[in-house]
Amino acid sequence: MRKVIKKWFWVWEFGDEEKWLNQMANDGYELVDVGFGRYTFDACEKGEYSYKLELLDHYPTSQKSQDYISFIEETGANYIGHVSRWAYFKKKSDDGDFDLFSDYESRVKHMNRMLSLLTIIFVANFLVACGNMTTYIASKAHISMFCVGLGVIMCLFIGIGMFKVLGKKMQLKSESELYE
Amino acid sequence: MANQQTQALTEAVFYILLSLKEPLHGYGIMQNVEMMSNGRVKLAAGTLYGAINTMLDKEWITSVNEEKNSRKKEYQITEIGLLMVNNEIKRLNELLENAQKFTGGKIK
Repeated sequence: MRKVIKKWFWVWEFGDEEKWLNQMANDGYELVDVGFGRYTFDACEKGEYSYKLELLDHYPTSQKSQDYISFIEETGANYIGHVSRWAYFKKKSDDGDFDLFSDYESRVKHMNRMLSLLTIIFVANFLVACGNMTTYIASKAHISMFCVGLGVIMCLFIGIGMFKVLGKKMQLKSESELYE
Repeated sequence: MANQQTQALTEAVFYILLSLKEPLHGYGIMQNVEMMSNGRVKLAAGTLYGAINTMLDKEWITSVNEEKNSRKKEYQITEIGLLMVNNEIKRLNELLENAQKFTGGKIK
């Protein structure tokens, strides 16, 4: 029984995305394919799988990422697919707790990858907004001003997302002061 | 960075090194570490992958019998790796001796 759900999660909501996928599995739907804002599920036993997402260092089809993915698969997990650099993994819940990271350092590195991705998106939006501002000054076209406004809103939105990731990173950092 | 000879190894790195007297692949390391620590230390695959690559770069471990067709890579400890284990044993002994002085040799 195939089921397709359209849903969108922002970079900083990856934890919620994992929770949602686990909840779907608990309800008897396993994720079999992913696309931009599109999730395909098949029926499975309730709670059969647990899910983890990772923003990889390199594009998932590159050799480096392929090596990484096959290493993960050798440990009993399965690679489902990817959306841009985000890789989706599942593991049978019976095989115990599933996590990709077991220390602060690798979790912090993962957060840093998210932060650099968000920084690129932020700067790109900012530059486009600046470009639109220049057009507005030259032409006084209302549409340019509208685009500037849109760009500023996007920048603010992404900025808030960056603070959320940064907050989680700082929390990890402070714990790592005491524990390994 | 402080003198690397006296720096503490992470628990994960130490246990990975202790697992590689004989060649072993990634999943084998995870299972071995969990067994040695009576289930206390559970290495996650992504973290293990990062540690293995760093140790390969530093030549603390080496990748063995790498056949083109065999997907499962096996790793083994090197001379440098053994030296790192020995340094860590000295450091752990020092910690333990001082802790025993503190408690008078009794563990609650």
